[in-house]
Amino acid sequence: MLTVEKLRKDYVAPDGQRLHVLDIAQFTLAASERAALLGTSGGGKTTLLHVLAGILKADAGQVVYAIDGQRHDLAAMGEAARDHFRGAHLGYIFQTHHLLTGFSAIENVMLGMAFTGRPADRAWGEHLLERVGLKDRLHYRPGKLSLGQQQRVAVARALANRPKVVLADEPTGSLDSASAAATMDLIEALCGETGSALLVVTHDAGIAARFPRQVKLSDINAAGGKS
Amino acid sequence: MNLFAIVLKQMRQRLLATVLTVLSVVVGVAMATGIMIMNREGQRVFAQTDYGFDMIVGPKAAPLQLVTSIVYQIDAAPGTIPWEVYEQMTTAGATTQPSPYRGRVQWAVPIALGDTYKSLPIVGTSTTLFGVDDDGNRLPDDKVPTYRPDQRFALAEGRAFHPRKFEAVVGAEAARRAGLNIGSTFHATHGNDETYGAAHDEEWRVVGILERTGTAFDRSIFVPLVSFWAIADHAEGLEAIDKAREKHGVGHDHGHDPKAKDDKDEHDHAHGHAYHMHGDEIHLDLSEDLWEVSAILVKSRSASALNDLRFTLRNHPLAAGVSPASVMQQFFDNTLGGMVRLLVAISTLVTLVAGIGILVSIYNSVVARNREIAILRALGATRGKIVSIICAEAFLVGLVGTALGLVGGHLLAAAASNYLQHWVGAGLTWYRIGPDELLYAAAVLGLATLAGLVPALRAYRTDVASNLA
Repeated sequence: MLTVEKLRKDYVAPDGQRLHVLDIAQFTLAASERAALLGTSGGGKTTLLHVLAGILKADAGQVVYAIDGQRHDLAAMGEAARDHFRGAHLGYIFQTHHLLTGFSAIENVMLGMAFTGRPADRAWGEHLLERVGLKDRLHYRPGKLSLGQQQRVAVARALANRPKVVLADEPTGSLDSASAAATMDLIEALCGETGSALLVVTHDAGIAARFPRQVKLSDINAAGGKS
Repeated sequence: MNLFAIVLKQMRQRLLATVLTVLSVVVGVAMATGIMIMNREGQRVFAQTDYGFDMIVGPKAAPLQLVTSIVYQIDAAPGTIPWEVYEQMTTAGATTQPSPYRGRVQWAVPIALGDTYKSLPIVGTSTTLFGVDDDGNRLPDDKVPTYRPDQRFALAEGRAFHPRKFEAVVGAEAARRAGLNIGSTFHATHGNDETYGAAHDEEWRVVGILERTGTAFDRSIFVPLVSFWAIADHAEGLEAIDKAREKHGVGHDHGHDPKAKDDKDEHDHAHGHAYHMHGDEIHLDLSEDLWEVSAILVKSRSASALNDLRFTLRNHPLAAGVSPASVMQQFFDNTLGGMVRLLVAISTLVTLVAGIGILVSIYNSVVARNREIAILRALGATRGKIVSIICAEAFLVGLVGTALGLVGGHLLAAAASNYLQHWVGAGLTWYRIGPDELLYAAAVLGLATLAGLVPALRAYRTDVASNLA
């Protein structure tokens, strides 16, 4: 599903110095696979997810998604093409929910379908919110929801397009342990329902332990990292 | 959720700022279009070229006042001219002197102004105005006066007044406003102020109501000239004018015998007045040489006849002929034109400020929404889509503002039309949307979208990764 080869990503510091953040020889994620990527703060976790999502472009190497027999190399795509690809095939869960405050729960979920080029499926959006336990909060704006509920809306939004891969960046980082466990259960269950592969980046060994495959970023990243 | 829904949602999110920005556009557009409509339609009403007559003969000097008083009746008549000018222009008079105007005049109608009833002007005139002679016989078609080309005064009810009776024919608007019907009676007030003017003793009876003409004549009350002159105040005034002219050595020959009045002993004299009644007919005691009119509406036989008339009148010691169309056009070009240009400049400035308002408002919202824009990008929105969303927001603000502004401008023009209808008897076609307005509206929409481009470019440059950190 996802193959990363010879990936390099550098940052130019304000003083002009070039910082090597990512230098990954190879990383793969199979279709429907669930994996945890463990790393410390500043280790390049978020940068890697941004490159995998096409938000940032790799400086070198390949980031290839194989979908329906088609090969999509994000590293070779222009920005607009990466945006289209992300909107159509990827789901992204941020550490903080990043919901739009002026939009209700269902509208935030529908917003996840707005840039796919496919017709919006409200019934699916409502189903997702029902699955995350917010059936009676469809029209609540984020300000009226608890932090845990907001993150559950964000989870539903990430699954709105039935993505091939869900990338989650410390998805439970702002939640207490009980809410964190419940949210992880939901993410895994929904990914199972949609058949999406799941890559969760975390520094929490407890969260990582839930996954059949755990990868330490330091093991695959030859660069020092900076996220 | 489509892009349009996202735009609307974001506008609702900043409802107050959006409403205020829209309002600023509304004010600018309403001002500009209101001025455009009033200028365009005002010119049509006031600087029209399709008068049914091509000359107004009145006292020398103050040609604008002559036109505004006679055609639009929004001013006092600037003075009077001797009746003999009218007589010389028509075959109606009994003058034996050779006329320099005959053969050049197709028709002429005398107009005497000065009194009002319920603030409506009373116009002393002849039966010619209604297409009949003094005996009530129909005039030949080419002798029937027109208020616009080929448009003649027509009676909706009743008949023309008798030339020597206290009878009146009322304009359609005057009848409506004063509540006059056939058979109604009224007393004229001297001057044009109901509060300070004194009501005359004479009572007129309404015998006819005119069909609407869409001109100031609609708010006029027409009475026979003889009944107008019969009023004591008018007779005294005419005598005073005559004395003043004699003193200054201008005027007409007095070929009359001051004592040549109708046989007083046999008739019923109206005490203290310049007339006596013969049955229900008025017989003036005022010598014909003292008769004066405010103006004469003249239709010339041809363009060359009109030139001849102008030339002849130029040498007249008291009267002058003016073309209403050129006087009003000159007024619009020289006086109102500058004012209109200034107002258009001001409203353009207001519109530009509104455009800057759109820019500032949306720019501020973009700055405040960096994170939201980054989220949209993370969800798959391309930079182009973000630019579209911001520009669409600016366009929508412009569209709603322009639409409401156009409505506002037309409502302003409707109010002006109402005012004009009240004072001039002719309103504006305020509902007509002119090509100048459409061009202006398109320019405002372009300006609004352009104003949206600056914040859109700011949004275009939003760094997704750093704003999602």
